[in-house]
Amino acid sequence: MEILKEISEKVEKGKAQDVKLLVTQSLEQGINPQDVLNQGLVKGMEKIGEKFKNNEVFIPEVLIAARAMKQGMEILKPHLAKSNFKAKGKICIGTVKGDLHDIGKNIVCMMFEGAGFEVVDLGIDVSKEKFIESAKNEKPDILGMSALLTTTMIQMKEIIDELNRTSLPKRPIVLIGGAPITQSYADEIKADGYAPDAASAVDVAKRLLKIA
Amino acid sequence: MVKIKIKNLFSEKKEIYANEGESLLEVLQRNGIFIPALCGGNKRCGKCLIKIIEGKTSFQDTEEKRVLSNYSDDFRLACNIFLKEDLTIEIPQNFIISEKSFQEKDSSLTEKREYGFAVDLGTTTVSIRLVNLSSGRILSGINSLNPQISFGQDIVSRISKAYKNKEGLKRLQSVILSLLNNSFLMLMNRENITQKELKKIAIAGNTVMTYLLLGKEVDSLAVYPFDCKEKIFQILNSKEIGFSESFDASVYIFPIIGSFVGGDISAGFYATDILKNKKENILFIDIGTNGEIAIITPEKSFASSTAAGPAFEGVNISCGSLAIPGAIMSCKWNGESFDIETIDKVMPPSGICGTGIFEFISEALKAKLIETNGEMKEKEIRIKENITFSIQDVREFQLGLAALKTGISLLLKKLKISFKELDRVIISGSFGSNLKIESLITTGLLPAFCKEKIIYAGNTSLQGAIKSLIKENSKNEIEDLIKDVKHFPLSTDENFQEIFIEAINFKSPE
Repeated sequence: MEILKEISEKVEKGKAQDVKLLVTQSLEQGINPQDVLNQGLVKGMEKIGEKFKNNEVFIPEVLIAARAMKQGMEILKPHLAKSNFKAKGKICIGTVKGDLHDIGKNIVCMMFEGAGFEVVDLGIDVSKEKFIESAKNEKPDILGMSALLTTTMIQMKEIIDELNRTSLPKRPIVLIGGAPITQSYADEIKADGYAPDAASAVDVAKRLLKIA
Repeated sequence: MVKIKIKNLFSEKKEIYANEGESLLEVLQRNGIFIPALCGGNKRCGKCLIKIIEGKTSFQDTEEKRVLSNYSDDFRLACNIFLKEDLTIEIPQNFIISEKSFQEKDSSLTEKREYGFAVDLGTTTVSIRLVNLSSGRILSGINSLNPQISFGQDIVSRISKAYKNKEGLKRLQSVILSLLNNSFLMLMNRENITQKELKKIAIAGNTVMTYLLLGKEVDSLAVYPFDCKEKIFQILNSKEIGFSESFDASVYIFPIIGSFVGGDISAGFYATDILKNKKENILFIDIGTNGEIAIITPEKSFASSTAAGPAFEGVNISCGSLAIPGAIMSCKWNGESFDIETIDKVMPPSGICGTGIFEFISEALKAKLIETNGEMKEKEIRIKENITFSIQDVREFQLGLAALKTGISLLLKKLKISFKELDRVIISGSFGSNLKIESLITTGLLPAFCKEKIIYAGNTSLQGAIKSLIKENSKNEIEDLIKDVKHFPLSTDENFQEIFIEAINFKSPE
C-alpha cells in the first residue's frame, strides 16, 4: 500500500511530524494497525538499520529515524492493543557495571523496538544482581549486555555463569555486543549470540528465537 | 630446540630458546624483549628490523625485500624469520624515533657539573632530555616509542593487561624502566657524564603511565568511577623506583589532577604558567588518544579527559600508521587528486598518520568528497597509491573528534561561558602542534572565530619537566598551582549523549 511505503520512507528520513500524520491517516483509512507497524514503521527502521550496518548513515541519522518511529508508535500503540497484537518478543538490556557507555546500547534498544519487540532498558552501570533479577521478574526472551571497555566486558562471563546457576522458568537467550567484543569472545564465555552492530543484533535475535 | 643469542641487548636476557619453525618476532616478544612491530607482524612497517650476525634462516620473500630495499642482506624482519637453527642476532635501536643534540655550551657560561633528566612519559611516545641543572642547557635528547606499545596501543588496553594481574603490571613496569635506564645510560655516555653527576630526574606522564612506572595497581582506573587514590608523590630515590642501581638521583613525579587527567597536564600548566593568569579565559587542549581539556578562568578552573580513541594516532584506521618514516603527514587536494608529503620524505607512503588524517578530512570536506554528516559518495577515497580512506575510517574519526568536542562543550557549559568569551585557545602536545589551524576549523573542532586566539604551545609536558629540574622549590610551587584545578568527569554529565550526538557532524560548535 502506498501510504505504508510512505511511512517507511519518512521514518528512514526521520520526519517525525510526517510519520505521525501518515500513521493517523492510515488508521482512519481502516488499515490494520499490525500492517502499519510491520510494513510502515518496522520497514523504515530495517532500512535505516541496513544503511547503518554499511556505514552509509551514522549515529545521528539513526537516532533521528528512531525518534520518528517512536512518535508514530505512540499513536499506534492503543490500536495495536485493541487488535490483540503480540510483541515479537521481549528483551531486557543494559550496559554492565563499571561502564557508562550508553549510546550503542540505546541504538540497539531502538532497533529492537523498531522491529516490534518489547524492550526493557536497564540502563548503564548495571550490576550482575540487577541483570539476574530482571531475568526473573520480567521473564524476557533475550537478555542483552553491552560493554565498551576491555576491563568491564569480563563481567559478562560472571553474569552468564550466574544466570546458568539460577533456576528460572524460562532461561532467556543471552546476546552480547560492544566495541571490544568479538564472536570468539562470545563463544569463549558461552553467550548465545553476538552481533557486531545494532541492526545485526535484531537479525541474530530473530534467528535464535526462530522468528521470521 | 634452537638457541638465539642476542648481542647489544636492551634487557637482561642474552640467550633464549625456541622451537624450530617459530617466528622470531613471536619468540622475542614472548621473552619480553621489546621490538616494535607496529603493523602486527605483517611485513609492512619494517620496524622489527634485526641484524643477523651468524646462522641460517628462512629466505626473504618479495614483500620483505620491498620493505628492506635500502638495507644490506644481513638485515631482516623478525616477523618473517622462521627459525631453523641457532642464530646470533643484533637488535638495532630502532625504537628511537629521533635523536638530537641540542645547545652547545657557551664558553662564557660557567656550569656546575650537575645534570638531570626530564621525561615526558606518553602512551605512544617517550621524550627524554638531558639538562644541565645550573644553566638549564639541554645537552641531548631522545624521542622513543613507548615499548609498552607491544602490550596494546591505548590506555585501556594497558590497564587491562595489568588489571587484577600482578605479573602483567610487573612486566609493563619493567619494559618502561628498561627503556629509561638504557636511554639515560646512552645519553650520559654520549655527553661524558658520570653517574655521580646525575642528580635529578623529573617525570611527567598521564595517570596510567605514572602508575605503571611506579608499579602501582591500576584496578580502580579500570572501571567507573575511574578513581585514583594517590595523586601526589613524594620525592623518591631512583633506586626505590627500580632504576639502575648505579644511579643515585632524586626522582620527581608530577602530581595527578584527578582520574585520567595526569602529571603531563600539571606539567603543561606549570610550563605555560596559565594558572597564574588571573585575567583571561583560557581553553587548553591536549589532543591525543586520550584528549585532555581544561578551561581556566580568573575564578575557577576545571580539567577533564576524554577517550578520543586511537584514531588520532592512526590506529583503527584501515591505512593508518603511527607517525613513523613513510607515513603521510600532509595532504592537499589539487582539484583532481591529493598531493601528499610523507615523514622523512620516504616513498611510497606506508600509511597515514594522525596529522595526515586531520588534513585529509579537512581537504575532503572542502572538496565535498565528504559531506558534513560524514557521508561519502564512494565507499572509499584513494589518497595515493594503495593508501585509501574508507567510510568506516571516517566514522572512527568522527567518533574521536566528537568526544573531544563534547568535552569542550560540557566544560564551557560547566563554567557558564561561551566560545566567544574565550581569550586564548592553547593547543598542547607534539601531535596537536603539527595540526594546521585550518584543519582544526574545517573539521569543526573549533569555531572559525577562534582562529586568532589559537596558540601552539608544543610539548608542554616535557617543557614542564625541564622547568621543574632547574627551578628551586618546584614541587611545592606545582602542588600549590594545581590545588585549585578541579577534575570534572564528563561521562556522568546528563547532557553528554545529546551533545555528543550533535558533535558527530563536522560542524563547528557555536
